[in-house]
Amino acid sequence: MAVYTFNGDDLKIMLRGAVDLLEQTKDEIDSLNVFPVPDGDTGTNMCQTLASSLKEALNVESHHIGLVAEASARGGLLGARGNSGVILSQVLQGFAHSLSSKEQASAADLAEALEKGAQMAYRAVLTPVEGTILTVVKKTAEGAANQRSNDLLRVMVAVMKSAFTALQKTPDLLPVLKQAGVVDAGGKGFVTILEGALQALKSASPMAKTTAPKTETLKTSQAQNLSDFERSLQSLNFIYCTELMIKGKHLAIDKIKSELLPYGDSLLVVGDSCTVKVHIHSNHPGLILECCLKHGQLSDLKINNMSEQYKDFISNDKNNKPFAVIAVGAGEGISSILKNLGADAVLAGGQTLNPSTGELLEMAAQAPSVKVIILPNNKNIILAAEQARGLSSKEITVIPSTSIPQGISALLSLNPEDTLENNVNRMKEALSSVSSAEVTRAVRDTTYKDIVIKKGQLIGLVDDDLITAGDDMSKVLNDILGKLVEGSGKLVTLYYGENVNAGEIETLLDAAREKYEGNEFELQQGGQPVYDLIISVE
Amino acid sequence: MNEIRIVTDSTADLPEELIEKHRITVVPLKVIFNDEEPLLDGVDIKTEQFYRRQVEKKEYSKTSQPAPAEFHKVFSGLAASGASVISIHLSSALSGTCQSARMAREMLPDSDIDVIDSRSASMGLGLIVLEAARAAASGKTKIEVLDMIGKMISKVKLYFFVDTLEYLARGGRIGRAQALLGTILSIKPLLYLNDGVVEPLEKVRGKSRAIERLAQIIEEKAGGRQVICSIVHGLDQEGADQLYSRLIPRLHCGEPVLSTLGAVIGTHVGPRALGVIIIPNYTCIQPEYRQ
Repeated sequence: MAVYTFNGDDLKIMLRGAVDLLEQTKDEIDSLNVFPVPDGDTGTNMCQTLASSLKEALNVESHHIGLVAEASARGGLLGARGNSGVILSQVLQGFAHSLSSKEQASAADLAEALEKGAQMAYRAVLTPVEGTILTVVKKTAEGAANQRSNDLLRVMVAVMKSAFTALQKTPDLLPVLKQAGVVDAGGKGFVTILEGALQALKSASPMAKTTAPKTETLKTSQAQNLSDFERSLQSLNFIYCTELMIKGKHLAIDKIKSELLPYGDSLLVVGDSCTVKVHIHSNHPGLILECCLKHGQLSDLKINNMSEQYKDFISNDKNNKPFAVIAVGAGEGISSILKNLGADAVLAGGQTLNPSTGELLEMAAQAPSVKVIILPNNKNIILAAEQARGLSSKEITVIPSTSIPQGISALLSLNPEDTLENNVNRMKEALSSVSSAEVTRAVRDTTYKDIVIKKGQLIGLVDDDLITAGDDMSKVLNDILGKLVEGSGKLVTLYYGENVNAGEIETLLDAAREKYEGNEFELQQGGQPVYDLIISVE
Repeated sequence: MNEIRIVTDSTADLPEELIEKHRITVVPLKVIFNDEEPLLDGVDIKTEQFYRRQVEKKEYSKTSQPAPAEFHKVFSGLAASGASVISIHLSSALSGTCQSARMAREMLPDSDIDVIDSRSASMGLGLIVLEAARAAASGKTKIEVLDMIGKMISKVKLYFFVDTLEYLARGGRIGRAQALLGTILSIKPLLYLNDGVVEPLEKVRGKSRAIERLAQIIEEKAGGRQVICSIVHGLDQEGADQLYSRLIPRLHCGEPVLSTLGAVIGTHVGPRALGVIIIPNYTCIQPEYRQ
């Protein structure tokens, strides 16, 4: 059977196939980390990003491939998690731009769309690194461009092959991958997407129904995070959180925005000319619905009474703060430390679960100020935060903190009385004042820089580099301190994780206090998952 | 020419030997534990006794300014001996002590008494008093001494850190919101006196880092100039020694005045506070002549 064109339905089928296959292989992709740390979540992130993309695509009734692609791009944008999720969302973006005016796509159109996707992805990354998902996407696009056939299935198979070849070569481009003996996880995710799409396309009959994907059961942590968020009084001025989608033709986002603005606050109107997502806090949800009804059909209606949700929240003068701070962190102890130091809200997340752009956006929308500082506290969350900055109607500044200790250092330099600009400068400066280390357990056997690592062993990372492994916490901790503590006058803080015996660590610290005289050691309950210890030296 | 006598209050935290040596008159403020009788700062309750109650017995105290009558007694005694009085006091933004002294002066309209608000506290006030007493003893005129005091007031810098903001918050000497910040992670809030008012500067974690930061700030503020300096502590001799050895080699200064924070200042900053005061050295500058 030869297929010469794709339409919107085909795209939905492909997306669904891709999400299904990602769902099956995400654990395997997660484990493809350079270091055998258990925080790998590339597969999970890509899967959730694409699931959000699929959900939006399925909401489109049309067979028009441009419309379906646009919806999927929007879904990807809002659901983007982690670095590879953000890059994937940019690929979808480029793909959608390229196809926007097309009802159906030919093999040539597909090649061009892939090319645009690769371009967008490269542009999204500040310093593109070859040997990552970026290279795989680029080579895939090149592979598609080199195809002479008009048979889409044939082209897809060939494209798959070039993607796979590019993936196999990633260790040659990126020495850390070679050392670790793995291929790039993001690249693997992208190949999996193509594979899933192709499988689905092959097995789909023209009558195949696009029903809700099983991944829809994947719960985002958004709802839970939001209830954790100590909401501002602002929210209580307007009781009903109203969310809906408008579908129609030639929807004018700016016009809808300006019409809704007088009805409340925390207004968010995003989307394109055919589908618009509206979010607003108001006291008259009925009027909001009437207003939106003028523009098109409504769907996905959700109206919540927030005063019930937040009645425990004690109102104070937080309402009109000059600026608000959102920090990302996992663990009860870490979270309360971040709040104690002045974070207005802590978004649960970090190594094990990267919050999506949408979650960060929602957090920012709820923050008690129009100016919002985001502390991602993890290198895989920075891009999603940057993406949120671009999408939000608020003035967002992202402080590129890559670890909890950096986030804490930045918060220490926070002065609520000072200007936003001065605070941002000080917070950025503070990032370099601290070194971070972590202790966790290896998820597979491997050898890295002559260090032989067994699955389940404790491993120590210093500033994101694996430096030691062993069965004994005392050895691992000693190696880390030996690397980080020189001279005197240093303050070493250990945040212990959820399954760690504090007494045991305290005993080890007593020995360290003796060995590194003239330095201070402090033990704090972090309660974080995955990492036995997070260590800061400043 | 009349002899010039310098009067201050107990919050100057001047060491006793210097008070005696320079014939400085100190009017004590009062410290009140629970509902007990007020204790005269430095007279009824010495520094060691005070911190023992604050730290070991975890007792909270309050403070009270001297009554105008107490100043009246001191002023009239000195005036009767024919002296001109310069009375220098704790920042009026922190205490009503200056107000009491002014009221006493009003009661003695025929005596030569000047009451001056130092806009500072502890040895920030103490150093000004000490230099004024030295200048007076060296035969400077009252106008010259007053001029010098004015210049020192505009130049004195006092930076300190506290173990906890709890005591400053209790005494209402700092905004409550700021007291909430950084109550964990062994944060040493760094503060300074800005025109007589306590203001937060930054948060530093760990004592030795706080000491190093304090030394850095003072070195920066001294800017290579000749200064006079004082180090004060709320009974943390070890911390004061550490600060001394880190800071003094980096300054152009003579031997600093080392002192402890008395019961009144201790009531408001809590135990283990550590501070530095510097003033550019004016003793070598000839004050301009004014008639």
